[in-house]
Amino acid sequence: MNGLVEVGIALLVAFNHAVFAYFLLLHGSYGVLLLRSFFAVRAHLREWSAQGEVDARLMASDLVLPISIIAPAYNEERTVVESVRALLALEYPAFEVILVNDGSKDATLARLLEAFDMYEIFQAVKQDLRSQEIRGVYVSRTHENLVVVDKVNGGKADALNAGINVATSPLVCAIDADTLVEPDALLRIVRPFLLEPERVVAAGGTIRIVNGCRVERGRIVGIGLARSPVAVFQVVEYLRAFLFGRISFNVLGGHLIISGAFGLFRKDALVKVGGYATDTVGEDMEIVTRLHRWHRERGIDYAVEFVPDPIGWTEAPESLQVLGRQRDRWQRGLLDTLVRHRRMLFNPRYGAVGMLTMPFFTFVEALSPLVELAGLAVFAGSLAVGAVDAAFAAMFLLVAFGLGVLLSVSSLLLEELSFHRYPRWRQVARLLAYAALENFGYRQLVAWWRVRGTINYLRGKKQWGRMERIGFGTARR
Amino acid sequence: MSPESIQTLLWAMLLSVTGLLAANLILIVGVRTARGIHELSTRRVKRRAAWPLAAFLDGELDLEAARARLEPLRRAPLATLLREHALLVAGETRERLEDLYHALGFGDEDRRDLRSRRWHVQLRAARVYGRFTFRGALDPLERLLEHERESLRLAAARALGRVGTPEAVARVLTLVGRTSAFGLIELVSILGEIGEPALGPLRTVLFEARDPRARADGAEIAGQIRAPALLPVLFAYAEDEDVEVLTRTARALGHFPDPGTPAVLRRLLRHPDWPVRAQAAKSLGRLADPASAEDLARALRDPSWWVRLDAAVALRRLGAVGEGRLRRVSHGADRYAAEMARRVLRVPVDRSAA
Repeated sequence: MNGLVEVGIALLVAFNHAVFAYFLLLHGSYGVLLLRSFFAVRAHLREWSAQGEVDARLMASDLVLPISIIAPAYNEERTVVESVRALLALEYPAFEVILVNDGSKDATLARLLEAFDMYEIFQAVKQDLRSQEIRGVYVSRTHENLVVVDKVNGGKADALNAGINVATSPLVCAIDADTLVEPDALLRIVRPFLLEPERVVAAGGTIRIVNGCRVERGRIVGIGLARSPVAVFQVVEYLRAFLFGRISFNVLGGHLIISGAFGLFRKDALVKVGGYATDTVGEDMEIVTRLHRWHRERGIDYAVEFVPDPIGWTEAPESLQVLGRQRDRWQRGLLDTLVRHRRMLFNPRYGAVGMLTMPFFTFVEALSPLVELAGLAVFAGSLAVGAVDAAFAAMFLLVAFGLGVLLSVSSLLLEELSFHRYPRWRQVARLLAYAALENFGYRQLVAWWRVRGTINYLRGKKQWGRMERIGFGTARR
Repeated sequence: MSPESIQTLLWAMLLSVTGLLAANLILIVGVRTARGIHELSTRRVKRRAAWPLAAFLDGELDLEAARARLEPLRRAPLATLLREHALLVAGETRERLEDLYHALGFGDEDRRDLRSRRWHVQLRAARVYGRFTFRGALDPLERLLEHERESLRLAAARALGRVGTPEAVARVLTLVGRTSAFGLIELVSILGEIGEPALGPLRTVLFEARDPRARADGAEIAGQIRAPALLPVLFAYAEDEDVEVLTRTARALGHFPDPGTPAVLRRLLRHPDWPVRAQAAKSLGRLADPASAEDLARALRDPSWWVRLDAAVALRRLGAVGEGRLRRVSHGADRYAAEMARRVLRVPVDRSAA
């Protein structure tokens, strides 16, 4: 019996050692990424310090590439009119807005037809990509550059494919109907395509949380933080993800995610790779990974860019239940993409994507919630059976939480040094407090949702899960 | 790893994390405070500089007196203020502002910065000379035209454009064919600011361009500047063998409502490569030349979807003549042409008929 106990304790200790090693690797990689981000953001800001004047010149030029904005909408009757108004008010010399009503069961289509004086026209759609049947194409009597596509429900990816088929511009901007894009965002996100037109196939912008901001006529007129702690935790998370995660991978050349909420693509590149995959819940990551794979396998020089200053503001879930469903879906999407493209993992043929990004997403992003929760459980068990010294345990937890806080606080510093979007001291103080607090409960909850997502993925669950929209009409607290 | 070494490592990590956290917090507070102080001081400088600056620009104060009043103010915000002011004034007032800027010694600092080893310092200085005319030998700007960063090359070109001498313009024109699409937009704007003095040298450069890339970019520049003096260049480019040159030439010609242009575009509408045909159709629409209706209607039967679309849109832009053609085609036997015509005419669907 004693022998068994000893073996058990030895196993616990060994597991703890493994978790510790993983922990070192995880935070070591985060540290490297963070450092890279600081330099990348600094160079970016220096390069584009005269952006205002450049924007004015781009606006006046007809050499900029036209953009088709594609916004899929499903049961968005409360927000769709305002979202479309915001899109139509964007500053860009040549763009069209294609809103794809993906078989909504509510009055989304009716609201649009009424608000923009739309009528159905005859239109044979060029079937570059497969999508569910298009029931009708509508144009507006008041806005020449607005098109509404009404189609049979097929999911977001399918709606995007239908939109791409209707698009008449060389660049297509995939946008969530509930995302508020800053007026100058298109002028900024298009830059990589103008700088390297032959190479750049996709570019993503930054996504921030709109909850708590003051919105008037589809524009952010006052940046604030929501009262809901769940929303503020997400503000910290998004700052971390966009300001250091994506920027640093961009520098390394292996940028893997362009948020579905706001991304710009070359239409011909999307068509060549077969458009968005309709059988995944992580279509935004999957399409970017496929773009990498397609170009690498054919030896074609290309680039996928991240541009930090074009900003889209998205609504974050304020209830734990909805947030849980979202994170569950994100995890399933991540795993699905990693499994589909597993041959890229550690494959030098795929360059930085195969050797750096894919391993990072596999062993850090996908596995970390499992390791974190298992580590905590085993750690607690080890403590209970005396396999780990209490003082050592306390110190380890302190270091772990300290590193978590450090990462978030560093992102806030980066935000402060660069974009400085939260003007009040009180807002920064709140963000700092939440950066610390998220380590006590919120982070573990997110880890659990992601573990649940992993289980659901293994069980083959492919549903999106319902999201609840509040709408942008007024200041939301 | 022994428990002792893990313990030591944890201690080291704990200390580092604590130190880094403290440093981060101090930096956040420091950066915000510094920003606040800077804003306050800028506001103060603006307030104190407002009268002497306005009085000098209006001629009420001479250069020496203005300098004496402005010199005691903090230099960095004052320089920023003057640079921002340069965007608001023109002509003689701007010249006076430039005199003041140089008299306060900012020009010397910028000239020194142009030779800095740090690219962002050079970039900032070069951008200043996009607003204030550079004074002195042009070599530091000329050197920047060869810098690996396009932003620096363009900033230097803008500064040289402001100088505007034949020598400076000639240097700017060395960038033709060496820019990205973004740089091309900037170059067009620089040449537009130089104006008339750039046209002669530009025409020569475009006629003599050997590289197809330079010719393609040259066609775009000509199309954007829209000076009749450049039209012969485009007519010459319309005979080019390079598809990219032809496509861009077709686009540029759409900006020249010259009697000779539609005929050239109609010829390009029959080119074997579809991008050239599509662009020619688009430009004919832009010129709204009714005599091209027949050719555009024929292009509705083009095998390329894009050519059909551009031809249909062009016909619509011709007004009644074009729309009449589109209506006839929309009931015609060619299914693809008819579909495109109906699409562009935005023919409403009559569900009741079905």
